[in-house]
Amino acid sequence: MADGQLYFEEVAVGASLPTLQKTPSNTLLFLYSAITWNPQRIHFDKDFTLSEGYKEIVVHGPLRGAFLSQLLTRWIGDAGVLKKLSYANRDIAYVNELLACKGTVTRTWIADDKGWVECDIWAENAQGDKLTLGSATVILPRKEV
Amino acid sequence: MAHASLITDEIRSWIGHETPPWTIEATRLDIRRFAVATDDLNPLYLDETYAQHSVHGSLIAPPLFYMAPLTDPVPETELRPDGLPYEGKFPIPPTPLPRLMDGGTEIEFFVPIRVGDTLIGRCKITDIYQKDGRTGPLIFVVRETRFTNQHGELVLVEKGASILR
Repeated sequence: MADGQLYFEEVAVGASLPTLQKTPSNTLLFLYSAITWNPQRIHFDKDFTLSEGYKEIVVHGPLRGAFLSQLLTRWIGDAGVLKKLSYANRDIAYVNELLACKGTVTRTWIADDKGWVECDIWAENAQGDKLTLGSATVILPRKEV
Repeated sequence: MAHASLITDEIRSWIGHETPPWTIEATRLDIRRFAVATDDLNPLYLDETYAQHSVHGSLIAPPLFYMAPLTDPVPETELRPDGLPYEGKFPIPPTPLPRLMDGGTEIEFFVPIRVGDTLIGRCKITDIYQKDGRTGPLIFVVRETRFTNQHGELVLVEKGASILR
């Protein structure tokens, strides 16, 4: 993004990524169902969703993956490269509930003249329950190269 | 206690099974729609002038854009009562375990998806194995999906698992 590039030298193991807060609304879930052509009713039909035993409309699993990808791309900036992303949804996320996407740097190294960074990433609700767990590898530009 | 193996020769024969390849056109409009629908308003996806002056030189798509048009639309009359198609988007062998869970997703990216790209996706079952879960046996169906672009470049590889229980 336009607000300054992150460089490898600015990243240290243990550092936190800037938190990305999302509270997906019914409208956003509708738009995601539409662009992914997903007719599954637990994402838009509240009566049906309650009858299936859920307490509310359910957030799409891959939308939570997209939020985590945004946590990373926003942090690494235009010249950073998202190389690997993995995530698994452990618990259900509901519409209109906070999903705080967070991350911690776990490893940094230089290979092929590039700065590589590994992170643990996750999305948690307002109670701090981690609903999605994942990890990522990114490549950052180096200042002195 | 270990459960008896539920993986028959018939189920094992699904390893290596490939779906027919499918095509994704990364149009400017679909990229904009995906960016808005994921609340990711990065100018690299939306602002042509900005993207042209960036390291990418042109508009690109969000990393997970390839998930947008993953399946062909199924007519409403062919959907189950819960709205899902009778046939899932990934091939699953018939097993005695009725419930299907998502076992996670791992993606490795090679080159960005650019506006105007035509991607070809190919999905293959790479492994099927059984584990003992707290509630009984679990069957893991592991798949790999590879996307290439119109230049023949590998764009990304997605590994995913479906868990039957």
